[in-house]
Amino acid sequence: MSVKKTTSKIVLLSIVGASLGGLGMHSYRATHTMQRELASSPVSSSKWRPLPLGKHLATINTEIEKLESIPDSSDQEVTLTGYVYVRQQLFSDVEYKWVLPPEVKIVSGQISDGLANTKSGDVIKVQISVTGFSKEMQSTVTLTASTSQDGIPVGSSSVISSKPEETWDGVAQEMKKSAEEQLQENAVKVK
Amino acid sequence: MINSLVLALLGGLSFLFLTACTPFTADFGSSSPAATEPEYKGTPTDYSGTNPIYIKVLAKYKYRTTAFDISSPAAMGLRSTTAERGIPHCEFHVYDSAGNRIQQGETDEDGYAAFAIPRTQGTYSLKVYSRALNDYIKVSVLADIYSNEPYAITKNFTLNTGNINSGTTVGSPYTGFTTFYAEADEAVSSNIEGGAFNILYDVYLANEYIRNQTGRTTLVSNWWVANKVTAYWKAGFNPYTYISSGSTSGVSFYSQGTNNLFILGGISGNVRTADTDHFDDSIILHEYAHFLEDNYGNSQSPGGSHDGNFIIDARLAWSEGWANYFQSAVLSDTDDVPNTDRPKYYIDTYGYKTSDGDTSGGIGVVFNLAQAAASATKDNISLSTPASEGNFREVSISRTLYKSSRNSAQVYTGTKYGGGISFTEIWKTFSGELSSMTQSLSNTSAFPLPSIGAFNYFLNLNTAVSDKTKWNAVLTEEKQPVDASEFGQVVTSKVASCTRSITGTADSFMAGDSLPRSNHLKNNDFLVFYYNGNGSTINLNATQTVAPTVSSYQMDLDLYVYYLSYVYFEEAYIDAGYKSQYLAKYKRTPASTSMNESISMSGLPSGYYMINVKLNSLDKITNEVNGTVTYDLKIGSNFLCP
Repeated sequence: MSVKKTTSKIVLLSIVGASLGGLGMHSYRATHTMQRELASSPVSSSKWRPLPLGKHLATINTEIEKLESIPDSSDQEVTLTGYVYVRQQLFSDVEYKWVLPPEVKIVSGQISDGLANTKSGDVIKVQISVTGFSKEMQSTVTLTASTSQDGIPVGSSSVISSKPEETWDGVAQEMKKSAEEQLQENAVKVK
Repeated sequence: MINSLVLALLGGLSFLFLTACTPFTADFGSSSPAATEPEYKGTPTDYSGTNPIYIKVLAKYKYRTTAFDISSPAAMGLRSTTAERGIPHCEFHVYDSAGNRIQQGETDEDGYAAFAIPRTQGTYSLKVYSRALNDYIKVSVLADIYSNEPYAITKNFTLNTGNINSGTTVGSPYTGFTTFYAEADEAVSSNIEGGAFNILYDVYLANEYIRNQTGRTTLVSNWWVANKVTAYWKAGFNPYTYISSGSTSGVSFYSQGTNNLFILGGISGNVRTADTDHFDDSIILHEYAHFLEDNYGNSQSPGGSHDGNFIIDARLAWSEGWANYFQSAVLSDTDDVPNTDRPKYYIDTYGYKTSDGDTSGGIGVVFNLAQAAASATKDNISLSTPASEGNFREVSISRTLYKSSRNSAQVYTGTKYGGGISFTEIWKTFSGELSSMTQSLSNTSAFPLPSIGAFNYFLNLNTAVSDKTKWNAVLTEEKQPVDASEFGQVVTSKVASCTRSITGTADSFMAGDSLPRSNHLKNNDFLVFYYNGNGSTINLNATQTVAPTVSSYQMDLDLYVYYLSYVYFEEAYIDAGYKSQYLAKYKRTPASTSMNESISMSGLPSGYYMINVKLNSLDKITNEVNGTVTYDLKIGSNFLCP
């Protein structure tokens, strides 16, 4: 594997103490009555839900920081910040790459790079500044990262949208709330 | 492409998103109210007395293939190339040109829709839906929780002078209409209906596997099909956003107690470079295994982080380990050690590749369930690993179940032989089906909380294998217990005494995590107790028998009483002032004050509780807690013992 060793100035390798304790969940507990409820079992469970940071068991995870504001115009510059979380002991370098659609142009930062000597628990911060990522049109930018584990290439990807309100992801919670309200009404009517 | 994809996706719920310049409205309820799932209609109408035309059409779905050959690592991942399969046992409807449903039925196992309709010239539509509710499979794959609509593929066909006199009998139907497809390529169909049918197919595979392996394949008299499951999935959609918004990475999950799977369809409309799971058979089957656990086993996972390289809660380890194992068992199809790599592995992909050098896709998670424990990258178990540690390790549990259920005449790696345990015995122990419920995890009075230790205890009783040497070798290799002594053993009031001991170690951190976590094997004992509501007091009486290396420190046991369905609460949380709704009572008297702890159960309702005896290890290094402390638990004048 050919890996560039030139760590970008904007790549900050740090061991961050921030908790990754909420790395997603494949199974979450909804409020429900247990099938075989035991005497002291609470019928409702914790409302605490960890934020997902990709898949459990992944060797590395990626995440792109949510933007506080997205430019109105495509000629405005915006900085995208991504994180590569190293979750396992590595014996290979980590490579990352920003995947940009044609309308998004890089202004500064490395579109891709390789990082040596990363270790389990490291959080690699990567940044690029771009134009063309704006509310004028829907664009998605992807951050991918990969390494090798037991000779098998493994990686992760994350996607950020310039118009999240125009995606299902962006309206899911509102849709869920509306569905619950309406279907509850229907249920009452049926009764 | 992304815009057209979003447009198509949003169109399904009557969103007013037409172009990038048209203001989008999230007012999805204005024209399309939320609805429950449409009624299933799969029972044919009998036209046999009316000289109908009999027609047979093949419905198939396409899926992106997964390249996984250890000798070709560059090629690994989901590929742009597609393959196809028949759509088995699914609901179909036939509509006339006026939109009236004139017939309905279910495809056969190969995907053929065979039906009879009146022999009348005209144009018709055949729709095959991503639903099945029959003896073979009970599943609905629906777009979202608002519309609850299944996916459908449509075949329009015309009866004219050229074919109207064909298909005169059931045995010789008209077969002149071409095969139609659910597509896998978003450029062909932005909804990627092939994804919905692949989810359905995996559920079918799982049902077939359980049916065949447990010998329940005689309809009516001895047959098995799982309860209905609903899978929510939409191309380009991350279902975790139902729970929390703003995530740029996605997950699939099973919603415990609801019979609902949520499968990752992409992120923010992206299915090209984003993580998707609709063609990841490992993930679909993994989540379905959680559904099976919820319906047939004892599902008590508290959730939480699990990175495959850490000692975790035994219930979480069991639940995830079971699900990882189940996918490989189904994909392996038989108990033979597969000749190819794919079935032995758990594989989770992201994006897809158009060529070997395409880095837009690849493998996200991978591990080999047939790998030797001592050389495993995840949950490595070596000779120096403490006995029973596998009880708390998810991937080790997955490997244990997979190796245990391989043919004992075959080697799964090196010179290690399969354990010879049949899936029937595993299912029996898991569910209580095929035998008395007594010796299964479903017997929650024996073990209210599941673990691999409890499972192995019953499996040992249930297995018909006379020579358990090879199975025991697997358990030894993976450091797996054959009892629940390390987690969830039930204790009751006994006159005779019993003692336990704890030799501690320092807290540790999951990779990248700042939370110090107590070692569940070494620093904790977990004992289940039924409290009858009589207001009694539990007493912990401890004695330090071996001083830690730093002898100025004293081993200090604390006593915690959790409600049964609990989430383990780390000392760090308590010290930080947090409270847990799962923790009924606890006592943390410093050892310098007293080695003993006492908790009155007065005020608590009767029922099962988890008694957690826990070494106080927060902010201590191993040499400060590596002594040994022996203790007993008393209730009144009696002892709490197995």
